[in-house]
Amino acid sequence: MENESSILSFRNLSKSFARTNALENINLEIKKGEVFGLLGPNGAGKTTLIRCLIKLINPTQGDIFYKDRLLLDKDVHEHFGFLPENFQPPANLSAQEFLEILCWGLNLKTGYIDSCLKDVGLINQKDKLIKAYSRGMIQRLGLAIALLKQPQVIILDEPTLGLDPIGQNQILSLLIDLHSQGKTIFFSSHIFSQIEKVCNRIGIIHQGKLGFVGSIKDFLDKHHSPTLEEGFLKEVEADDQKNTSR
Amino acid sequence: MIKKILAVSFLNFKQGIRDKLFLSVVFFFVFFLALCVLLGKLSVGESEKVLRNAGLAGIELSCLILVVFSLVFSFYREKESRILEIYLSYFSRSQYISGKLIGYLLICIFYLVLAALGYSLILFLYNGFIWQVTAGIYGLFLKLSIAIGFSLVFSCLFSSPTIAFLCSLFLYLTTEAAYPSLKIILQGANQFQIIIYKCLYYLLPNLDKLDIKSQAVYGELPNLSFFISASFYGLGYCLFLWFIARLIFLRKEY
Repeated sequence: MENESSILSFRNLSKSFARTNALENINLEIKKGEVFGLLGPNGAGKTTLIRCLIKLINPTQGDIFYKDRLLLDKDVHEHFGFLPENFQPPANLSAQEFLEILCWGLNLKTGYIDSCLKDVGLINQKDKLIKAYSRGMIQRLGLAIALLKQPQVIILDEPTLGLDPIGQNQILSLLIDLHSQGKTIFFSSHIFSQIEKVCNRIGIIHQGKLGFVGSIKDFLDKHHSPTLEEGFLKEVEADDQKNTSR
Repeated sequence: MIKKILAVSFLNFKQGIRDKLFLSVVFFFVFFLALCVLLGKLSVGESEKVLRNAGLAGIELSCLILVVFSLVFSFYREKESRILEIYLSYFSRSQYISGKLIGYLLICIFYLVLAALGYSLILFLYNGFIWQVTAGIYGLFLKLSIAIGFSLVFSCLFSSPTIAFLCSLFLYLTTEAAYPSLKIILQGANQFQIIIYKCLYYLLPNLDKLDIKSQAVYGELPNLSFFISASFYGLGYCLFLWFIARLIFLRKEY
């Protein structure tokens, strides 16, 4: 049954690379205005799922729906802001130049650049060449790029990777702010404390299968665990045992 | 749509002209010009012609290395650094590939203008300047635009930058040598072989027909209709290569 407030729906989504099933029959609904956290060990399929969502790769089977209709490239270009994991912007440009060219190409107001850079704490370094940026600054610039087109859905793949605790907090506060503005946020992370801080619901993905989808409270109750980390480990172990017994 | 394509072009252009490779090629060309002056001095009585000829050859070689190397490696760098994923969340694949092609054509023009200025200055200083050499540089631009198109196709086709670079470079060299090779081959070939060789020759870009270096050096240029047809040929071939690159890129998963 389709949830009326769903902004994104993954239906029977599978993706295979040669003989490897990277995603198997993923069914997931993302509600409008929620922060959804995708958790999973390395190689679980988090990035593959995000790549399908951004339409960088085509699913082998199944579909993704945006506002109850099939997701189109145009939706991604107009309504999705995306920050990939560990990306590197053009090193010989300044943040200001880079964002200005993007704004010009997309017919966006250039005044919005400053507000984006201010939000991510890069306003004072906007004229520096990107090659002089630290990993954390690059990650923040990535977030500014994702926010530039004022997207309805923000997709972040490990957004706090390489950030110091202050930077991490800054990004998380920004995510909370964006959530309060009604943005839908879909992000993957390995850091449980971050997920606990900002997510309304979580999904646990392991070996390409979505094991659990629900609130953090439901997840902790399911595994009778005091922490998300402990619950996550139990979920993954249980899944591994199920696979071995087969 | 056009603005999005131009945005990708400007990003590539700005990044390209500030790259270390661009500066290195400029320095290489400056040293090459110095060598040309020396060569000119050694060729008594023909010094201006040697200077003109070697200068044009240097511009072609340096620009070829610049555009092919720079395009191929920037394409792979964008893939590896995952900035391509951000671009593809902003622009369609067609817009991206078109922008990339235009961006590198702009880099080529920018470098040719810079090189032409330096080259003309040296020719002025040694009393060897004739305006026809600038038309020779236009011929080089047409040849190099086709090389850019091929680099784009190979970058989309192969997952290794080294293979894409070598294929682009060798294809350029092959097409340069295609006409004299064809003449030699045709002397001993039967009718069937002649058809095959000619088909192959006309399928590959006929860069020899765009090359007017030797005429420009002697101050003799073909008529206007040659320039018009050469421009159409260069543009048409470049569009054909853009179409192939686009087809491949639309089907690729990144």
